[in-house]
Amino acid sequence: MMTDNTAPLVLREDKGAIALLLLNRPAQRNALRYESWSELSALLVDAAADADVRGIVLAGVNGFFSAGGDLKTGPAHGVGPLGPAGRVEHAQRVLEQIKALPVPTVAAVEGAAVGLGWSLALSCDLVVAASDAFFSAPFVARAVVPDGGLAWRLTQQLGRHRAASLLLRGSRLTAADAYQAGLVTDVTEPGSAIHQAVAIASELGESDAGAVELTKRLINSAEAAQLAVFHPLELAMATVAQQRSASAEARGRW
Amino acid sequence: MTELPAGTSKLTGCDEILVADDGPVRIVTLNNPGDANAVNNAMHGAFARLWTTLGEDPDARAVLITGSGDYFSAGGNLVEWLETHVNNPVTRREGMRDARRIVRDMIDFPLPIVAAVNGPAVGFGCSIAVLCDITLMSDRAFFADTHVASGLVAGDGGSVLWPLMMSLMKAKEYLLLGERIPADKAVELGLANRVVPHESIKKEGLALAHRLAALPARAVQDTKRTLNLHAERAVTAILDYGISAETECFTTPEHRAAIDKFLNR
Repeated sequence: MMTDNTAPLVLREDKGAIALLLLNRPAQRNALRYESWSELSALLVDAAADADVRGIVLAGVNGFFSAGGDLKTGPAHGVGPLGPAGRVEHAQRVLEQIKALPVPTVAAVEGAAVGLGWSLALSCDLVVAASDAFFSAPFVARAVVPDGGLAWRLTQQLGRHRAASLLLRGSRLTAADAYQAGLVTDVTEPGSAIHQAVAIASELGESDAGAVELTKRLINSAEAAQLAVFHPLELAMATVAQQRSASAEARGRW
Repeated sequence: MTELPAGTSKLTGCDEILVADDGPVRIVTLNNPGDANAVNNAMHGAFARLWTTLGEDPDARAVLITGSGDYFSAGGNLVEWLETHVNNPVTRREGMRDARRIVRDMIDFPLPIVAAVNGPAVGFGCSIAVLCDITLMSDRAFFADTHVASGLVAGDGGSVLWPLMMSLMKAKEYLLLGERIPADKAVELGLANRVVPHESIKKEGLALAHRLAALPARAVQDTKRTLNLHAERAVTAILDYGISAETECFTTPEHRAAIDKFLNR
């Protein structure tokens, strides 16, 4: 497989007291490989341990947030019994890691946040989106199930039927509609989402760090019990879906 | 007593927490024998990070935790505790973040964990022993959760899981009074699976870990996950309150007096 193995999959650029983490696979619209999550996780650990970092902004290079899980490498990881959805579990853990960060986090969405990329944006405390950006979750079209907690989050936020429409049809949600639904906190001019997100994170970073951490803890605790039960179920469904499509593919070849 | 392979600090970066490979089993040894394997801050941090690292080991199928020598773990290092948890609000938050992570990560950890409690397990030692999946106790070992006597809320210890293992009223008795729970009593209460002669505790623990490692991996791992949804529910409902309430106590005169009394004895 021809890939550029030298470039980091996630970049860190510091903007004052804010660590800007950029998904960096421009030719693949920042699609997330297993290793993308590992690199993101390591950068989050470093940033959280860095006393000078008062906030984190997540974005993608080249004016595009993320096209979601990398289709080429697929969600399987490892040969073990938990291999078929290995990446799903890995992503779940990193998304929890983002939510558990003591400092404020802001997603800056230009272009689009699709599938697992949308889950990644929604794991941040605030979501800034360019006015021409869109969100979508086309899992079913790819014969897999939504991951990263998206089925739970959208149902919770939009209600059962609007969530079903987005998840089953894979239709796009515009930045304006996402803002109306409470899935985006700030809409900006195209091209300025990162700038705006860094400005918001810097402002939040000036607040008392203890008050921020404990408030985040309260917000997380409001949904923790439901998510704790939802995550293993999502993983089981992802594994089943994966085994089904793998066997279908095998039958096709036969 | 049969000693196990001691292992190295390669995985943890901490000389006081060692990991050895024994086929599909990873042996984790709390290794601060000069202080009865009490956790200092470096160990606490390394222990909090350990589960993520172990979870990424594709060849591991089970984990055994034990202590070097004749102690499991006697709790925390009070000199460091005074500095980082009592006097400094920033490191205090970090310590409590790690405490939370240890409980959550051990419950979420995919592989089965066996504890070979080879001696006294107090405070931290007592808390982690009951977060394991199967716990064997030496006939010389005992548990004690001493939070309350030290002026603290038992926030990250027995309060979360003990009521799932024994009656609520028994849990209150032992957590409020902080009494020692000898090995046979621990088994009777449901805090441990069985008592093993001291000489063979580590050997039996390792044999049990290998037995788990040889079972169908998917079935073992997802059965653990299924059962731990009970624990997960308790954790999500209780742990954050418990840890916050415990943290509130760090600066009270009662806690300070308990530390001074211990350090000056």
